[in-house]
Amino acid sequence: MFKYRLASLAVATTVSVVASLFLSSGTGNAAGDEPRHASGIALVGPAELHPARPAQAAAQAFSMARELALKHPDSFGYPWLDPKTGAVAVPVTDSSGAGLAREVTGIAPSAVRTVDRSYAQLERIKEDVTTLQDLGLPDSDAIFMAEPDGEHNRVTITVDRLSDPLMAALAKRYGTEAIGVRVQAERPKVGTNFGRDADNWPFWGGAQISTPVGTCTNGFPWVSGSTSYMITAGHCNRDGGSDYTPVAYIGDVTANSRENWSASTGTTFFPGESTYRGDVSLAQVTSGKTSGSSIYRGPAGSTSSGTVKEMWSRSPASGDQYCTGGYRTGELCGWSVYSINANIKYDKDGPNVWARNMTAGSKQGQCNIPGDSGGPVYTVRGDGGIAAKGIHSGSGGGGSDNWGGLFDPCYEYFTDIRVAWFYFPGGLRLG
Amino acid sequence: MRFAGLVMAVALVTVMAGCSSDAAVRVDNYRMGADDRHLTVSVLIGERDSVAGVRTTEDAAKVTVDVRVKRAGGTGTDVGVVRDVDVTLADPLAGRVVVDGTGHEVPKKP
Repeated sequence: MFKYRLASLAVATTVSVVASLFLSSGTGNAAGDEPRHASGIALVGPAELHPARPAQAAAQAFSMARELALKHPDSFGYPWLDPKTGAVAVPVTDSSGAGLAREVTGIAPSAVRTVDRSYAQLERIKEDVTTLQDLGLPDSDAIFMAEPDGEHNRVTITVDRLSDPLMAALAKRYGTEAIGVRVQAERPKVGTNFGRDADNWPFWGGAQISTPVGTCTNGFPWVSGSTSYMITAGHCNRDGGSDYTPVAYIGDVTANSRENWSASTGTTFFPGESTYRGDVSLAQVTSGKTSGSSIYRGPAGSTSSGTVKEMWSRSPASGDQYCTGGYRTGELCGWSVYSINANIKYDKDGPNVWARNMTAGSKQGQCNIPGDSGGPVYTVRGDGGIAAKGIHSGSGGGGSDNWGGLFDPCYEYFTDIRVAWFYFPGGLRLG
Repeated sequence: MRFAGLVMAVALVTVMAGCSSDAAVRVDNYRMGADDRHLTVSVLIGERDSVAGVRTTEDAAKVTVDVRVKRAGGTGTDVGVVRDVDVTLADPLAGRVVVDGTGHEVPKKP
């Protein structure tokens, strides 16, 4: 008990001290025409992920300005290299800084301006942001980045959702001018919990999942209204149940209404339906987590990815080319459709197991192997985006080494994504 | 005639190659058993596949654990199931690396 009281007192004291420190840093330097949250904090636009390469002189001047700020953190603010003009803004807080700033102005187009908040103050805020979750600020788990905003001489805090309680708490802690908040719904995947073998939310297709049946691959991210789903093969969740990646719980599949597979007969009808819809299941992502809008690409174990841009505009036709993205074999391209709307006897699974309304393809080389079930079937567009075509179900051919040759090619069977889409709520989550 | 015979022979060899009774499978990880001479390795195989056997060879630098899998054959789903295989070494593993029959180094499961 004493331990908790002491901890609470320490937290409260820290908050009080930190707030007075940050709030005394003054205002100014923020653009007046920015949209603002009701809390008064500026809402920052999306990050520029592909800024133009700066001129050599400008980059050198900016580097020098940063070094000066590091050496004299109380006399400078955050330097800024304007990507549009190539000019360097050198913010100073006192006459000492103004004198030192002359070193920079001779190298490249530069402007010295006086600001209220120093580099040291802003860096303290930036560091303090990393402690907010431990301090228990409401919804502070939404924060996943804090970075300098040289243009406005403040700190940009990026969140995956806008929370009024969090914004109010941030305004109270830092004031409304020393920070801006950017909302970016999809977090970049970072850290070690990432990749085909260790996916975490927002969940992507092409990643390893464990189901009540065994090990499969997630197909595509799916969404209906505000509810996130992941689509995979029906036989992976043939009696419903919970799906997991090796590092995270994904969610549950409801038997019958969200999967269409029987271990003894293969494809079944969804409730109220008289059309067979291949081999699909839909897991509802648990509350607090979401599906993303990407699939993993590249070989087994890869961390590279592609954004899902569209559902293929039509159903497959013979001769269509495609790739599969099972987590076990990775991206296998060069498949060619040779049959559509086919019923395939899965003799390996039982004496009378049929996958119904399937698309069949073949190729030579590496075949799919156990663990690939449920993986995405797709083509890669000219812009690198993913056009979703289906969900991998099963395979044959290739012999015991799973390597297809001229006389024993690999066969692959998938569910046309449109066949599943007509039944399930919502559709692919596109990026 | 000779050419036709050659084609037939190539076809036969190709088909035979695809029908071999078992194949090496990737070993996903290993963990230590009761002592430094006992390992348990994990493989992912098809639901209807079976582990046909395991061959272990050792040298000063590495231990090769070649798990052979008998594929069910035919057409079917690609769901994977994990199978554990116990291995007894002639000598303690000590600092030697473990590789599988496909040549991949096998990570130790924490």
